Parts: sequence; structure tokens; C-alpha cells
Amino acid sequence: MPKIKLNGKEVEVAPGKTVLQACVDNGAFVPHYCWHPGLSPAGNCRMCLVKVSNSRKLEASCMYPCSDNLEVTTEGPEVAKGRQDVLEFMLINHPLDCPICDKAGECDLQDYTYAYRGGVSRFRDKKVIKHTKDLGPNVRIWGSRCIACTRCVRFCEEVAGTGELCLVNRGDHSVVDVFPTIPIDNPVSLNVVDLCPVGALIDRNFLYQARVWFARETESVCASCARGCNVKITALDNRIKRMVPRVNADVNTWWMCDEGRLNTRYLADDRRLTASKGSARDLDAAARKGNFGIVLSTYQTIEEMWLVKRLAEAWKAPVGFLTLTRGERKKFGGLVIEPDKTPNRRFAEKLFGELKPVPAGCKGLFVLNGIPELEGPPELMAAANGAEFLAVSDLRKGPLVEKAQVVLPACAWAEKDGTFMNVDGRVQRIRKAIEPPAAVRAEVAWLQEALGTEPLSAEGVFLQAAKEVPALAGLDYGKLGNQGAASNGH
Amino acid sequence: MTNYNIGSLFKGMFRTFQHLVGKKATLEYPEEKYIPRKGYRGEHRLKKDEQGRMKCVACFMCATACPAECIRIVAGPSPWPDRDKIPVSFEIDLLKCIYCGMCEEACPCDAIELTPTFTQIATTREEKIYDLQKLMNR
Ligand code: SF4
Ligand code: SF4
Ligand code: SF4
Ligand code: SF4
Repeated sequence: MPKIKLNGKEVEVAPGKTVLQACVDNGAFVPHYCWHPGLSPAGNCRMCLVKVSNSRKLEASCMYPCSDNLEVTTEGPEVAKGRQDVLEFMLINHPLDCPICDKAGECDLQDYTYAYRGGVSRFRDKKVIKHTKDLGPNVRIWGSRCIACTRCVRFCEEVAGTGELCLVNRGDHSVVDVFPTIPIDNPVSLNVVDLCPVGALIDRNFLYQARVWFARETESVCASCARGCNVKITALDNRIKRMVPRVNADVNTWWMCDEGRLNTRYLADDRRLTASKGSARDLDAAARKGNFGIVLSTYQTIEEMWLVKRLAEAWKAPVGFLTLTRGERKKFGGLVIEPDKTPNRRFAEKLFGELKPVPAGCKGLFVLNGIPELEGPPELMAAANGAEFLAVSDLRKGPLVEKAQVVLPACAWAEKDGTFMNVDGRVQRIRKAIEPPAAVRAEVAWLQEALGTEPLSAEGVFLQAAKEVPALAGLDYGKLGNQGAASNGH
Repeated sequence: MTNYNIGSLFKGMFRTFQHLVGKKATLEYPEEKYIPRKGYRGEHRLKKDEQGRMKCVACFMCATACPAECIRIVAGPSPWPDRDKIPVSFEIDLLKCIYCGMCEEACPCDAIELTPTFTQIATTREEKIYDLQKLMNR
């Protein structure tokens, strides 16, 4: 393995690594735009200049291979001057309209300009103004802000495999565009917005929604398929404004799909169920009369499923399941989109064995449905019509809710704490990003009320479950952290 | 000898007579109008450009600078080709405002300004939350 001297310190690097990778792995900061760990190196932004002992001029570290005894310096006046000059070139045509740019506050160009340049430009001519237009249903471009790093172009070619974006024109007229009549519209298109180091590509759904420094970010997990991509939820005024992926090499690498990213509108739906009818104690009283059935969706958290299992044992009730599968498995680089559109089926199978259908012919029925887009499938409606007593927990109003004697409105996944087990058996935490509508209580609270046990938080319930469920043995919220942990027996 | 401080007594009386005949410090308000000095920081207004359109581009710089957190803006796309973004709603809670003038200082478009209006007359709290219309028409 080659040994290099990084800022005077000797470090060992794996063969074939570039200087920039060695710097990133060893915590030496090197600013860069076009390089991204998930994409091929391009070496076109020239921002990652460092001083190397083999060369008299500064070298772009993202393309420079590590060789034995190479001395690398990432700081110092010469390197700083190099970065300043690169930035001055970049800002020749850049409008610097940060005050109205949605990227401001998390923009690499803004940060590095602030760090390396004194705010002077020697450019006296007119700036080139480029197009501002929609590139697809979700992506809009402000061409003048583009620094032609080609991250977005490489993503569409290498990860999405669709290649909609390309760099058109030459010199300081170069800008990203699509071919006429072929918009960027692939299942992972919005990743180009996260990849864009500047505010050139903007998510049309997030446009003008929030200045990022006012918004609150919560680390959570996407619930729209069984993959469980790690995400950050950006919320402002108790509304989810956007979701962006977090890096997790074991789950989603750097990406997430558009469907999951945009599947937040139901939280603020007009038909959101907010009023309860009856209480969890009424449900318990009715269930103890016997011949009772439970219907559980695989959208519920581990904690909720475990509490339902205990209720089922107390009531001697059979448990049937609501699931949702759609489409087929799709792979985009390190991201696999699952056909199972619920986040916790794997745990349901661990806890209840093979998932049974909705129990038919019960006198009483308790339906716990957290699947946003599922409303009363026919077999459920038939079972409900045959039952004398019906208790429902759902996100939205619907025919089932109208029939029910007991209604307990559900919390959406972003409104509660809990855990999901993803398709690979990895247990990951979801965290409360926004408050549920007033009067809506977390499921774990009223499920424990129905059980008649001492009310614990989601974390407490998880600890209890971890003692009894072998798949969770030895886990707690601390161990799960923000990257999750593989479950036992996986 | 005891010191009666006669000198100070005369000095004090001299000051009193000076004020009796000199320029008055008080004002017969409200019959007489008070005109604040230049640069006085009173209630806000939003300025218009030559075409009568709002100058504000909803950049939230004022809201970011405001230490009292009393500016609430909702942004939207602009109908005019010369800019991208305008405020859909713009509210200042003048009861929370501390009239520091930071918003005026922060604005990159010279769109917000503190006027010399110093009177705080209202019968409800809501009246002192100025919206876009009210701020534009002042
Ligand atoms: S891309 Fe960055 S530097 Fe350019 S206007 Fe937007 S925030 Fe400012
Ligand atoms: S649009 Fe953004 S990501 Fe694409 S080339 Fe321009 S700056 Fe890079
Ligand atoms: S004057 Fe000061 S406190 Fe009042 S709105 Fe402006 S910044 Fe806020
Ligand atoms: S700083 Fe000026 S332009 Fe920006 S939102 Fe406030 S008033 Fe409008």
C-alpha cells in the first residue's frame, strides 16, 4: 500500500486511490464541486487544487493518483491563492443572486466564496445570461447559476441510466439542458437537485417554500417502500417542505427515489382524520366479548406491531394483514426501489410468521391502517360489513371510518417516533419531524391504554420488545443511532 | 465660618430664569405636530419602484436580520419577467418590533423603510400586524 505524507503526517492509502479520496478519508478538508463519491471523477471544476511534491504547479487532487512518498499540502498561501483564482473564474458569469436562490445557506459556491475570496471581482464586461426553464416535471434550471460541474449529467448517465441531461454550448456559454421533447423524468430525477453544488437545479416542489436556515431538519427514514432510505426531513411551520437523502452505505448509498421524496402530501390532506370517537378502553371492552379479529397494516412501526401482538394474545384474536405491493424491483446504482410499498413487512413476518389475510366472519373487528393510499380493499370491506362492532385507526376519512363505532385517528410516520425493519432486516429509527394534528395521539399511547399497561414512550416499548423478540435482541435506540443496525439472525 | 453655598443658589436661580424665557422643550401635543428628527425609526413601509410595483423580492433577509422575529413572509413566483420571486404575503407585527432598523439595513433591494410615523394607535392587537397592502400603501 502506498504511503503518502498528508500535510506532514504519514498516512497509508489503498492502492488506486486518488489524492482527494485520501484527503477525504483522512479528514483533510479539500473544497470541490465536480467530484462526488458516488460518481466517476471528472476533474473539470479545478476547485480541489492541492500542492504535491511531484509537480511544480498545483494539481487537481480528484484526478491525481497516490504514489509512494508523495507529499501533499492542502493548506497554505499558494493553495489558497489557487482556490481564489478558480473562484474568480467561476464567479465571472455567476449572478450571485443568493438572496433569492433556494440553495443559499447550503450552497458550496457560497461557502467557498465566503471562505476563500475577499469579495472582489475584476470582471468588467457583461455577464452571460443563460436559460431559466423547467427541465422536467420536478426539476427546474437556473442556467446562469450553473458552474458546469457535470455532476447532474454524470448522475443521469451512470446512476439513473437515462442520460436526459447534457451540457450544451461551449466556453462560458456552456449550460445544462435536455433534448427537445425529452424532459428529465426518471424515478430518481430529483437526486440531481441534491447533487448540484449550486442553486442551478431546483426541486420545483420546494421552490420558494423555505429559506433553509429557518427550517428544522430531522433525521428519519423514508416509509414509502421496504428499502427504508435514510432521509432528512426539512420542516417549517409544522409542514414538511422536502426530504433529502442521508448517506447510508448499507441501505441507499447517496440516493433516494422521487416517489418517496414527494410522498408527503397526504399529511396535510383535507380528508385527514383528526377527530376520535370512543376510546381505546371501549375497544378493549368490546374485544373481550370474544370472536374478535384484528387487521394490521405493515405500515405500523415495530413498537406498534409488538403492542398489537400482545393485544391479540389478550383478546385471543386472529391477526390479518394489509399490505401494498406495486411495480417491480428497480436498481439505480446503490439504490434498490422495492415493490413492497410498506416499510415494515419484514418485521411483521418475523413477529407473526407468514402474513395471513383479513380474518372473515368475526363479530368484532379492529383495523389499524397506516397505509396512506390504501382505502378499504374489498375483502376488508366485506369483513367490516359482516362485523357488529368496528374500531378503526386510519389516516384519512373513508367508508370504513364512517361505519366504525370507535375511531382512533392515526399518526403519519413523520409525526411519531418508532422503528422499522427494512427488507434486509435492518432496524432503523424514524423520528418525529412535525406535530400531528391537535387531538391526534401516537398509536403507542392508546395501544398501551387498550392493554391497560403503564404508558411508556416508543423507546420504552422498544426496550420491552427487544427483551422478548429474538430478532431485536440486544438492540436499543442508542445502538440504532442514525444509521440503524442489522437485526439478529440477519 | 459656616459655608451657606450662596453661590450655588444663585446659579440655580439663574438656570430657572433662563428656561422661563428661553426655547421651550415641551410641545402642545396634539395641537402642535411633532416632527421627528431625520432618520427617526418609526413604523415600516414597503417601497415601490417607478412602475408602482413592490420592490421587495421576498428574499427574507429582513426576516433573517430581525432580532425580534416579527417579520413573516410567504414567497411565490413573480408575474413580471424582470424578477423571479415576490412576497405573496408580508406581515410585520409592530407590537413585537423593537424599531431597531436592522430590516432596512439588511434589505438588498432598498424595499423596506422605517418611516417617521411614531404613533401607536390601535384598539386590537391584530390592527398592529401590518400586511402587504397596508405596508405598500403607506
Ligand atoms: S448558487 Fe449559491 S452562490 Fe449562486 S446564487 Fe445560489 S446560493 Fe448564491
Ligand atoms: S446544473 Fe448543477 S450539477 Fe449540473 S453541471 Fe450545472 S452546477 Fe453542476
Ligand atoms: S425594526 Fe428591527 S425589530 Fe422591527 S421589524 Fe425591523 S428588524 Fe425587526
Ligand atoms: S429584505 Fe427587502 S427584499 Fe428582502 S424580503 Fe425583506 S423587504 Fe423584501
